[in-house]
Amino acid sequence: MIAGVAVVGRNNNPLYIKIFQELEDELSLHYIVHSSLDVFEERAPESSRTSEVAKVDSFLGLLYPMEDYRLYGYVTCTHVKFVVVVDHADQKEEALLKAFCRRLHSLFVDSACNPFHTVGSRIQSRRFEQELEGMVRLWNSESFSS
Amino acid sequence: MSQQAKNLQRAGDIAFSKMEKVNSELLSLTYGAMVSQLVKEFEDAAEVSRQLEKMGYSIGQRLIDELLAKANVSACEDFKDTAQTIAKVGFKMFMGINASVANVNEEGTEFSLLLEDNPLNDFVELPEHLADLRYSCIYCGVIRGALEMVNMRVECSFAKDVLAGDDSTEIKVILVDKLEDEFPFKDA
Repeated sequence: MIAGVAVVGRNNNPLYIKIFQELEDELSLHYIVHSSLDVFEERAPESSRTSEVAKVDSFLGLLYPMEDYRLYGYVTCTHVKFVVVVDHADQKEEALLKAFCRRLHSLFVDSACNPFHTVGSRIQSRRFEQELEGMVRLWNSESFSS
Repeated sequence: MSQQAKNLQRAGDIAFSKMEKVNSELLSLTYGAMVSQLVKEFEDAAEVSRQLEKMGYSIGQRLIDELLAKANVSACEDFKDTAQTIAKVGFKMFMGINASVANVNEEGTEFSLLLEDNPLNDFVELPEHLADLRYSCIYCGVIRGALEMVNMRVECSFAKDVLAGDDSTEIKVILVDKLEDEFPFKDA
């Protein structure tokens, strides 16, 4: 089950956070995502630390495991980061999660192409939200394929 | 579809294949940047729609010559022919849009154009404060400008727009009157 998805901008500003599971304490998930941003710094591909532009989009894989959740990260060429929070009950392979992140990336690109969206601001696109909900529903119902 | 409409469709497809093509994403993003800049300057949806229409008007005045030169179309006998030409040849040739004519009234002075798809709309979502914005209003201006150069004054507006939540895109064209050719000189 995907518990939550977050999109974080290049200055570590949150662009979009959505929690998909019923939780008593939603804020804790916000904190977890925020603390995972450090791992992005450590794990960033070598080339992007020396130059401003990362050479390629990279799926960083498991950022770090926690007691209830696992966090996966994906960073794009423009230093926009996606964090996907998956709960422990989920046993799908990482390759499938990589495909999920890639689709998330293309949704993000579509929303950024909207002329009324300011680059670097919060994502307010209804289409993005609806398609993301569809993808998560597909994932949770075990019918997601790459 | 009538034989004449089929002929026009073929003429439109041939003209489209001869035209130089440009990347549609480039066009969509450029048009989007222009509209969002207009929004920043005027801030009022109705005013921006008016400006887009004015821009379309000056484009239409020039575009009609290109259409008549490049597409192999004969003179239109009545307003219905004009409608079919705009739909099958004009929209196809310049935008690659498949359009059709509908709702022609009895006197033949009004018609609607139904656009199957609209490349200008790719990626666009109207924010709430701009819900009244006629995003593709430039088409209305183009039609008005082009027809005015062939002596027809029309009023052109959007009846339905997918960006506003409707299920299709429909442009309504109403013939106001036919203009007389004006000559700038009198007999001596």
